[in-house]
Amino acid sequence: MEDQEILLKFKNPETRHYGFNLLVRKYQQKIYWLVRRMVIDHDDADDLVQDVFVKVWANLDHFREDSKLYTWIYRVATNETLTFLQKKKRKYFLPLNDVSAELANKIPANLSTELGGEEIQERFMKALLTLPAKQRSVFQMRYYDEMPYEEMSEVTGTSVGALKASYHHAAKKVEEILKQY
Amino acid sequence: MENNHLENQKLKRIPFEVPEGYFDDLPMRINDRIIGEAKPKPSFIFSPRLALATSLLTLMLVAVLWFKPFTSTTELSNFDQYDDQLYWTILTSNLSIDEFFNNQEFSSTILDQIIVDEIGYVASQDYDDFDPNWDF
Repeated sequence: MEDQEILLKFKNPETRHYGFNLLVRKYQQKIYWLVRRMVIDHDDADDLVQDVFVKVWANLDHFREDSKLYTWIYRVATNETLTFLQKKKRKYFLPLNDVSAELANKIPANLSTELGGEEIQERFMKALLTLPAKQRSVFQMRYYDEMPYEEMSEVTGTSVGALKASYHHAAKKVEEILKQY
Repeated sequence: MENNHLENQKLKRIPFEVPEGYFDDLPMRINDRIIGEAKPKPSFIFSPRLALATSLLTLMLVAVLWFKPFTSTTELSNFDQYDDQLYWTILTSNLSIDEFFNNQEFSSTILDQIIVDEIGYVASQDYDDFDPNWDF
């Protein structure tokens, strides 16, 4: 179903819940994987995805439709996820490296073989965790979701030029780590 | 291309699993949360700080009552004793309350006793203007 149709149903008080249910069903997987890639742990991702959609419910009336609905939800999800990681760092007084190490520990052992993958996938996940959270977020938008830089700019509120530089810097760093093996 | 490893399409697969049926249940759980958060919240919300403050206040109150001089307790028990005396005297006299107090023989005995006790108490408080004929 088109976003426009979902929004019309949401704006009608009689079909508001139905419209929102359609929205959740349409975007839940994309948002879940966006969050899960960032926080690694399923339970954390589950909590965050619920928080994201509760916020979307509360603020959808203020959505001005001058950007795509998905871009707007993506922005809510990215902000929630970065805030979560920031709180985690503050709560335990952890430096960035320790947060990364904690997240890396949540990657299940023998992940690759269990899921029919290869060792390089596990190494890649761990290499990504060495990036600062915001840079990792930018890298993942581009690498996994293949999001155009213009849309990434809407999500992050950062200029296209800065995003390109950030992505290439992150890609170079990850590549160097992978080459070490 | 400079990023040889990153061109490996296998890296774009996310090697994580989700519990079975997770995405079937998620919309319902989100809906439940939305409905739950729309309900009015109770005006009293438990907080550890409030609990600590209440406990401290209770402890202070107990301490104040504990260290309060026992004179007032004694005073009260004296009144109870007088009440009992009056009650039993009236009960065993086979008179109504009005008859009892109009009967000099009965009323003066017990009332005099009470007044004597009270005078002793009041005298110890240095009341110079004590009037033994004060009205109950």
